[in-house]
Amino acid sequence: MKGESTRMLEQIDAAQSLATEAPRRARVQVLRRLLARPLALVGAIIVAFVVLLALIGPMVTPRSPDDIIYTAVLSPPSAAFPFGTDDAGRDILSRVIAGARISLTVGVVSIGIAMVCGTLLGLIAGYLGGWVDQLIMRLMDIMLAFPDILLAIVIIAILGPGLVNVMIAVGIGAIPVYTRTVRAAVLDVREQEYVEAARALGAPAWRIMWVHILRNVLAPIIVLATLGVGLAILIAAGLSFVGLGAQPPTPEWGDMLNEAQNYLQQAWWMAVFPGAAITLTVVGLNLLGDGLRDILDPMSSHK
Amino acid sequence: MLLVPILFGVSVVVFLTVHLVPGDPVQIMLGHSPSGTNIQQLRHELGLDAPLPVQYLRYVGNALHGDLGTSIRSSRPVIAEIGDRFPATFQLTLAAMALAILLGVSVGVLAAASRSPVLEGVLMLGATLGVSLPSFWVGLLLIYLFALQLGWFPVLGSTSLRGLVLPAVTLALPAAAVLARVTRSSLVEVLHQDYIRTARAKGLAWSRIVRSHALRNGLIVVLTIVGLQFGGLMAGSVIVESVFARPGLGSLAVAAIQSRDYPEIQGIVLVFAVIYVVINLVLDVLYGLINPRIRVS
Repeated sequence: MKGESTRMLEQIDAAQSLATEAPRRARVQVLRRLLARPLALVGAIIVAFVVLLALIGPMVTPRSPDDIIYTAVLSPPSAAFPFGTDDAGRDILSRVIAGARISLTVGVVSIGIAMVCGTLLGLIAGYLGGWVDQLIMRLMDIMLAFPDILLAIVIIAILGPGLVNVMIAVGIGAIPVYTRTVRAAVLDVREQEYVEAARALGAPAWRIMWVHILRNVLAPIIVLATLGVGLAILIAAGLSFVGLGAQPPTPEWGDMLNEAQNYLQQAWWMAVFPGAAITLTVVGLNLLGDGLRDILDPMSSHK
Repeated sequence: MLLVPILFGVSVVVFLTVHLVPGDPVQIMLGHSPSGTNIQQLRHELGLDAPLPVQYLRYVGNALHGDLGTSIRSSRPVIAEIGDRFPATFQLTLAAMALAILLGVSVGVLAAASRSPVLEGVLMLGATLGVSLPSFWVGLLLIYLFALQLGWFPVLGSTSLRGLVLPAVTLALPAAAVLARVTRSSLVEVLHQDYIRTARAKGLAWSRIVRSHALRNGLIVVLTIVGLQFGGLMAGSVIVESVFARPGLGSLAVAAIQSRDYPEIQGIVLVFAVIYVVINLVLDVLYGLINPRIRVS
C-alpha cells in the first residue's frame, strides 16, 4: 500500500519534471521578452555592470580604496584621479568601485533574510490557517505599523549601529511584504486539484508546500526581490549616511556622502560620485524589476 | 476595530526595545566603567527592577498620562524633548505631503491622459528615477546648487519658511514619484471603462472627460496611498533632517540612538507609530465615505 503511493508520487514527480520542460522554455521566453523591452534591458545592463564591478572590483581599482595620498588631498577630478580625491587624500573612483561590493552585499543579504523568513511565515500562515495564520498576520500588521525605515531604526536601536546590524534590521523590516504575498498565493493554489491529489496520495505537508506551492509563487517573489534589493540598498545607504550603519573608513557609498557633507563647498566631487553610484544601481534594479513584473504578471501592466 | 490591537502591539514592541538589547541596557546607557551603585540607581529609576508585566503596565499607564520617562542625555522629560522638536518635523512632513500630492498627481494625470506614448514614457521614467534617488544625495546637491552657489536659500539648520523649501522638496520627491505611478495606473484603468467610451461617443472633449468623468473615480485609490506615503515621509524625515541639520524629531532619534538613550528612542518611535496608525485609520474612514462601493460591501 505504502509502496504504491510512493510509486504514484514518483509518477507525479515525473509528470512534473516533464512539465518543467515548459517552464524552461518559458524562461527563455522571459529572457527574450525582457530583451525586447528597452528600459528593462537598460536596467539589466546596469545591474550586470554593477555586479561585475562587485565581483572584480579589487582587480580593476586604480588604487587601494584606503590608500592615502598626502600630496593630493581634496584634488578635483583629473586624469590621475577621474573622480577626484577626498579629505584624506583617498582616490574616490577606487572607493566608489569598492563600494559596489558592499552595497550589493547589503542589499542581497538583507533581502535574502526577508525572503527566507517572509516566505516561510507566509507558507505556514497560508497552509495551516486557523490561529497560526491569525497570529502571524497580526504580527505582520504590527510590524507594518512602523512606517518605512522606522522598524529598521527600532532594530538598530536594539542591536546598536553597524553594517551587519543594518543588514539584519533592513531584512527584518522587509519581511511582511513577502509574508503577505506568499500567503495570498498559497490561499490561491491550496485548493487546486493537483495539490489535493498530492495530499490524497499522502504527501507530507512540507513536501506539498515546497514542491507544489512554492513553485507557483516564485514569479512574484522574484519581482519583489529585485525591487527589494534596490530599496534595501537605498535604506542601508541612508542609515550609513546618518551614522547608524557603516563606520569610517569603510568605503560605503552612504558613509562617503556623510563625509562629503562637511566639504560640500570645497569638494563637490566628494558628494556627486558616490551618490550617482547609488542612484545608478537602484535605477537599474528598479527598471529590471518593473520589466520583470510586466512580463511575469501580465495583469499588472498594460490594460 | 483593528486600531486597539495594533496600538497594543506597537506599545509592546516599543516597550520591549529596551529589554531586547543584548547585554545590560543600563550598563550600555551609562557607558564605560560605571560604578555599581550608579547601575542600581539607574535601573531603579527606569523601573527595570520590577517584573516585566508590571513594568509594561506601568509604561503604558504613564504613556497614557503623557509621561514617556526621562531622557538620559538631557535629564528632561522625554515628552518635553519631543514637544520641542515636533513642530519642525510636522511642518516639514506637511509641506512635503502637499508638494508630493501636487506634483505626483499632476504628473500621473498628465501621463495617463496624454495619449502620447513618448510623453508618457518620459514622465514614467522620471517617476522611476524619483523612487531611485537617495534623498540624502538630492539634499546635498540642492544645498550645493541653491544654497551655496546661488545663495537663494539658507544653508543649514534654519527653521524659517525659506529654510523649509529645500528640505520639503527633497522629502517630497520619492513620495511624488510613487503617487505619480499610482495615479497613472489607476486613471488608465478608469479610462478604459465603458462609461468613458460612452462619453467619448457622445462627442465630449477629451480634456473634459478626463477632468469631470475619470478623475473622480481615478483619484480614490490615490487617497489610500497618501496615507501610506505619510508614514514614509515621517520616516524619511529622519534622514532629510540630518542632511539639513533641522532640529526635528528625526534628527533627535538619530542622536538618541547614537548615545543609546532608550527612553528617548522609545518615546519618538511610539509617537511616530501612533500618528501613522491613526492617520491611516482616518483615511480608511474617509475612503469609505468617498467610495460608495466600499460602503455597500
